[in-house]
Amino acid sequence: MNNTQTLDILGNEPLVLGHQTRSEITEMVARPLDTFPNKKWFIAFLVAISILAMGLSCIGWTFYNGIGVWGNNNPVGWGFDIVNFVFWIGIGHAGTLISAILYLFRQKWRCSINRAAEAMTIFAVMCAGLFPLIHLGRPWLAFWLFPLPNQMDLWVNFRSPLLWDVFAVSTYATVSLLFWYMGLIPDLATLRDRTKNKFKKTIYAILSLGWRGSMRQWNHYETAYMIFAGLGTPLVLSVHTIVSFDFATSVIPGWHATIFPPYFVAGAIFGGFAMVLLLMVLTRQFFNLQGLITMAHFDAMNKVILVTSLIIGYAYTTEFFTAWYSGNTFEFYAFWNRATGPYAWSYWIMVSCNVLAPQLLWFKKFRKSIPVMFGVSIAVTIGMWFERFVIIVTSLSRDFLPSSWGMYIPTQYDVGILLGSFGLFFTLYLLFVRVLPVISISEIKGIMKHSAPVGEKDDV
Amino acid sequence: MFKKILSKIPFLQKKKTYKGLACQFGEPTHLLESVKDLKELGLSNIEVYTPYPVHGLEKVLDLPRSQVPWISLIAGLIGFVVAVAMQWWMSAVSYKINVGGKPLFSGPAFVPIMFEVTVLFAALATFVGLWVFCGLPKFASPFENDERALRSTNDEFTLYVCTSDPQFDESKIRNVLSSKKCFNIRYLGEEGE
Repeated sequence: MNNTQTLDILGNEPLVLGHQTRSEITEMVARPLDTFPNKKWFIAFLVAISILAMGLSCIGWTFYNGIGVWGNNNPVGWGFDIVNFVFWIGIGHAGTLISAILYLFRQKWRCSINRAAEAMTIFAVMCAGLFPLIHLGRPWLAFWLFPLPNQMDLWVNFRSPLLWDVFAVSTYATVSLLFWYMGLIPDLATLRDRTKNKFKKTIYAILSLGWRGSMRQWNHYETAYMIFAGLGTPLVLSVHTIVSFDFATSVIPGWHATIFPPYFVAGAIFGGFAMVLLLMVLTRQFFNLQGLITMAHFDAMNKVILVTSLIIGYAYTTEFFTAWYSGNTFEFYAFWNRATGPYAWSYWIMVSCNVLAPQLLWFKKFRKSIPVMFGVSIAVTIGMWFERFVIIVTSLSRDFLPSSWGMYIPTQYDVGILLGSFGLFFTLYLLFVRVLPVISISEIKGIMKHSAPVGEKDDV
Repeated sequence: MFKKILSKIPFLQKKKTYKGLACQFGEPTHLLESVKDLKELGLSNIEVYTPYPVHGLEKVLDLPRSQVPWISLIAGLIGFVVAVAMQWWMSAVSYKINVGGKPLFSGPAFVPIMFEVTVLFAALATFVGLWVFCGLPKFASPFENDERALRSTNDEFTLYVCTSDPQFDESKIRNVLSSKKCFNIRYLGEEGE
């Protein structure tokens, strides 16, 4: 790739490397959709779908036998299922942060990664939504979660944070999907006008709703995009806030804390950015998109990971301090038990992955090194999964009375379903990169050099 | 007032096909200059098709601010009222359940769902409203028979002046365009109801 980078007037690195024309950008993004997938893709897809099949068989076994096949017990009624739910919903938050919050902050570097990140959000929310449903025990009655009229004349309990979750997650899934689809419309129109294949053309034409890109349309489109970003920003913060309410509104030591909402939101963005980074590194390598996803993008993403790592490191410390300072025996024991009790190994995995590993990113050299950032992101993904494990399992296994303590040991079905959710996620992502443009073609064209008329403001 | 609002919604207007003079541009700067000059001829029915939003054009074309935010606001408010009414009626009227001695209408506990339903309604309405204002879905277009015009979603910019414009004067328009860096000046579409 072209390595002669020139800095712009503010000393920023260019976001699109090389001197491509607009049609070359279209080709670069759209060509992989026309070619037959290569061997690497097939191997990755086979691996992902096999893991998914394994997870589905574990879910099938669960449905057949009931959730007794899991490690959940009394007192630990929430095990891997809720750990995985919080983990996946958190992963999704980075996508909305990139598409909505960074849009409001006019961060142009989001343009190369927002499409893939939003797709990741939708897939992560799908993985997340799976877990509460299979945890119901009778998943065929899942519609009882919604306030639907029924012959018992009963309604749902609106005072329960678990019901708030139902509304928050379903709203989040809907809004993310609409936002993503809206962003896809101009690109689908580009694909429609580009393809020679009649069948593809019909599909793209229907999906693009007949978009032509007239300035009148763009005028409404940009306003609506702004509104969506404005709605998505408080929405994403509310979703993980409400997820944290599932814990914070209870009386269990280690859960009953006002720090939970900001702590959970920061953790969600932290874990999600690590996942976006993993996906972007792989996508860039597979599709040779080095000119569009540059080191400047990775540098910016690594900075977000570093900052959110510091926030959650601070939250871990504050939790410990407050537990000690409160003078509440049970509260302090909950934290002492986390660091020194039977699950201390998971606590220290969490601390080393989430607080220590990202410290490497203070150095510019490491922020721009693919192996280092890849390693750190994997560490963060593991660490963030263990954070939810620590919060849920250590608190439930030892609450107030020692007589009601109990250990939690996951079974192979728990592990199988966790792996299966990764299989589902990667299967969906691999299908996505084959059928839809991974980079927003129209937005990239808007931030290229000479994209704005001379003398006009150059907005994202 | 109501009729005026309705008349602004393209979806409800009579479907007409238009004929117009079109040309292609390679660079946004040339496009912007040409639109400025055409505007000076008094033309009002100019449309520009671009692969990405070109900022500055909306001012030159005198495009009004989009009315989509009003749709979002109204739908959001409706969502809020629906959420309040739903939670009040279900919890405090239809089936009263005492949960932990809390009031039947537990204001603070009902806030999260009020917020979520507000956002959901606003987002759905913004989405639908956008396509109504854009006049979509609309599949038939004279662009489909013109290889060049199809490039306006790829790398070129298409300028289009409708023949139904009261100030339409082919020779004057061609005169303006001939001094600009545009190419492929031709008629697009057919006239008819």
